[in-house]
Amino acid sequence: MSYLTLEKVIKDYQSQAGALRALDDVSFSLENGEFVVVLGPSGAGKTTLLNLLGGMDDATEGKITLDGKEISKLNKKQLTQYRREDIGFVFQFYNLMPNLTAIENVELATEICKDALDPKTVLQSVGLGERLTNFPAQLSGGEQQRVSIARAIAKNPKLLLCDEPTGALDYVTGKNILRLLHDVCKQNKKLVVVVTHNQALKEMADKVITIKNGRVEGVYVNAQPKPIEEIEW
Amino acid sequence: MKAGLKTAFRLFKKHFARFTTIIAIVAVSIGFMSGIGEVENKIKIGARDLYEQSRVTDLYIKSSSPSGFTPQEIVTVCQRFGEENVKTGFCYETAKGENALRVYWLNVEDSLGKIELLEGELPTQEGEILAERETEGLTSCAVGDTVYIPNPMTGGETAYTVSGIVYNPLHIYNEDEPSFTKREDSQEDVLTLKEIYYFHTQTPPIINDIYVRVGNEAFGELFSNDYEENIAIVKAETETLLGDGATVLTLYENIGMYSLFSYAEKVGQIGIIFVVFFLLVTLLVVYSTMSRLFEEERAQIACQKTLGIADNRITGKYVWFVAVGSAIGGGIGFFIGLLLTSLLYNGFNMQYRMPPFPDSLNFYYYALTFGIILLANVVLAALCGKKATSSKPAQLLTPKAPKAGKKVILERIPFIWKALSFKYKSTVRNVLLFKSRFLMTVISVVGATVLVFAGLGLFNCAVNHGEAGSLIGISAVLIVFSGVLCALVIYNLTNINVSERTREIATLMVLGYHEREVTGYIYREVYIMCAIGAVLGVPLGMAFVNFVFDFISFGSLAEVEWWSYVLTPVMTMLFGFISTLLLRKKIVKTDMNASLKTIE
Repeated sequence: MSYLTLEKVIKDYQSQAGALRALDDVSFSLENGEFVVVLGPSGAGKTTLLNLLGGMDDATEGKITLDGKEISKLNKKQLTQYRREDIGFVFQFYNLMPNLTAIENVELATEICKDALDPKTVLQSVGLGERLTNFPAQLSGGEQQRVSIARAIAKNPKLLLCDEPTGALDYVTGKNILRLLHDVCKQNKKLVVVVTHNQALKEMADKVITIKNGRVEGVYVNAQPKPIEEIEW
Repeated sequence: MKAGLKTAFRLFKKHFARFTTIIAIVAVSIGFMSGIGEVENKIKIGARDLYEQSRVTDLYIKSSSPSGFTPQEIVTVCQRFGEENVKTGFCYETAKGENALRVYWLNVEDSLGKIELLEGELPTQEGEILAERETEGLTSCAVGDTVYIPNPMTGGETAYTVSGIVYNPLHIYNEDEPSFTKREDSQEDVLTLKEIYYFHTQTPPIINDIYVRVGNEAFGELFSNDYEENIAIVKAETETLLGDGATVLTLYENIGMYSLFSYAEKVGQIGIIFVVFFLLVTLLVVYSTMSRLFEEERAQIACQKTLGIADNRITGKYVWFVAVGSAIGGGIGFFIGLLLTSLLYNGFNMQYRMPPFPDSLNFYYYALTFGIILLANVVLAALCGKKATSSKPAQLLTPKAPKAGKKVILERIPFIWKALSFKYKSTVRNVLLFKSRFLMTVISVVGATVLVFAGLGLFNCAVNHGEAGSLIGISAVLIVFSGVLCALVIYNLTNINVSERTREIATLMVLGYHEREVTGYIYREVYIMCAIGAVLGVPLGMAFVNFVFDFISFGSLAEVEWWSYVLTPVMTMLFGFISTLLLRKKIVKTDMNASLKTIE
């Protein structure tokens, strides 16, 4: 039994134009400690997949299991609890609370978790030890994304989901963030799933899942992932 | 359909909630303002109609001689004012127990100072008499009753049968009326008039009363400034004409007519003060609604700008949005106002026998308040639009950066700051960070709270001063409308608060905050602002009530009951609570994805 498995997952959206199938018969499995990249053009169903994994939406059909817990069976309240305890989320636009300092933004997540890590230690580990009491507006984009990552990992989640984490960042900063995510994955032995349309990132992943038109086009295992420093795009 | 017209059409559809807000606030505001304002107008019209139609007499001259006026004196008065404007009669008063009884001998059918026969018929034989209608002050009498009139000559009483009930416009007052008879044991106090009877006769035994109609077009409308000046001159002239033997009374000494007018003016004055408040709060609501609307339309506006559409044309659509909303609100407000006016007008029936509600087409106050509101709203919308369109399209296309967080003053007081829980720290910072939103909410809530308190205060005083029954109606209206306004204000501002922060709400949801915790994040701020508004509203309401009482020379702060001080903030908090309850659905239905993916 893998750490995270998806079996024949289907997601339909009802619209006025009729049902729209966003995900069709999606199956794959991931192990803990893997660095996974989900690749695909816009509209392929990446976000839908992320929503299902993150407990932000429920599947129409199929089965999703994380660490033995069947996510696809949870009701609304249980899904909230799932997001609270098991999921760390890193957003493209960071989504920090503008009126909270860096450390308070992390505390926002940790104060509702059981096994949370110490916010200060986590912020120090992402290199923001000197910026604890700064507000988001006083931080650069890269620094804001670091806070966002710190917030996600401080929850000590089972799964770290990252939605285009470098999408709003410049090239160098983007690379630094990816290295940080990779470090988190390997040092803490966490399953990290990065959703992106940047083809170059597949070289750094342990596993690459390509998605097109709502279907899994291929699952590709990278025997020898390259360090991010060696990847150019 | 042209594309421009289509987008205008869709604007109404898309922002239907805001459109309804504008309609509601304008309808309530105009309904209240025109409804209250028009009461004074309508009462004056009604009273003046009665004055003209019944040819109410302006002067009431009483002879102090036991034998009444001499024929020469009567001729003098007739020569001065014209025979057709003079009515004569005999009247005597006598004590009956603790009260006074008055009997008139006069021509009941005279069209001058017309006395209306309400029931029964005029006396046709000896031993029949007419009685004044029953009021709070006058004892009840029915046709066929036997009444006993004391005869001051013999000391005995004579029995009469009531043949009809009449209504004399000089007795429109429904409460106790004073008589001319002093108490036996006092030089000052007069007895209360309990019974009034009329003998219908062309030839009174003695003539000790002369009624004179002075008013005409040149004289000025009843109780107008011109009228007051002219009647004073005529009164002085008549006193000189008749010498010491006569007392000249004007309608200013008629408790019914004059107090009706002065209460109508009090209502008008209360109206003016409250109208200003209502207007301010309405404009505040429209301003905040429009600012938010333009914020949400940034992308649209940018798109139109890049297409080369002139700023004025872009803004024009939004100005229409407000103008149409105001016009519809104004239409609804017209009927609310009309209903309110007739309700308050008829409320005066408690205290006075009111002439029928005048069906005049004079809607001065309505036109005035509608004009002001429409103009102010359009100007506000245009200003908001100018501000929004003055940015470059590139700026408009990038989302507005969230306001940077910063340390608030409270954080420099560690023992308070440290005592606050994490949730409250964030709330306090938010409340203090968004100063303009905070101020607008608090000012609106304070305004509405002050109005509620004033309504309750006025109610307390009107209940204490039993004779001010007509003011109970207006205070009830004040309480209801201020309450509605208060609820609308809180709802609208909470609504804006929620839409401004969908991103924060979505983030909390993704972080796994439960519904209660997410709603609590927004609600805490609303409750804090409502609480500040409610707490500030009471002392400010006291100051305001003091000012109002002073202005209308009625009531005092000391008469305001303790429960008004409690009920006012409780009501404000209740409205806050209801608003948050109504908006709960909107918060928990926030789409986590749509709110997080792209920025607006």
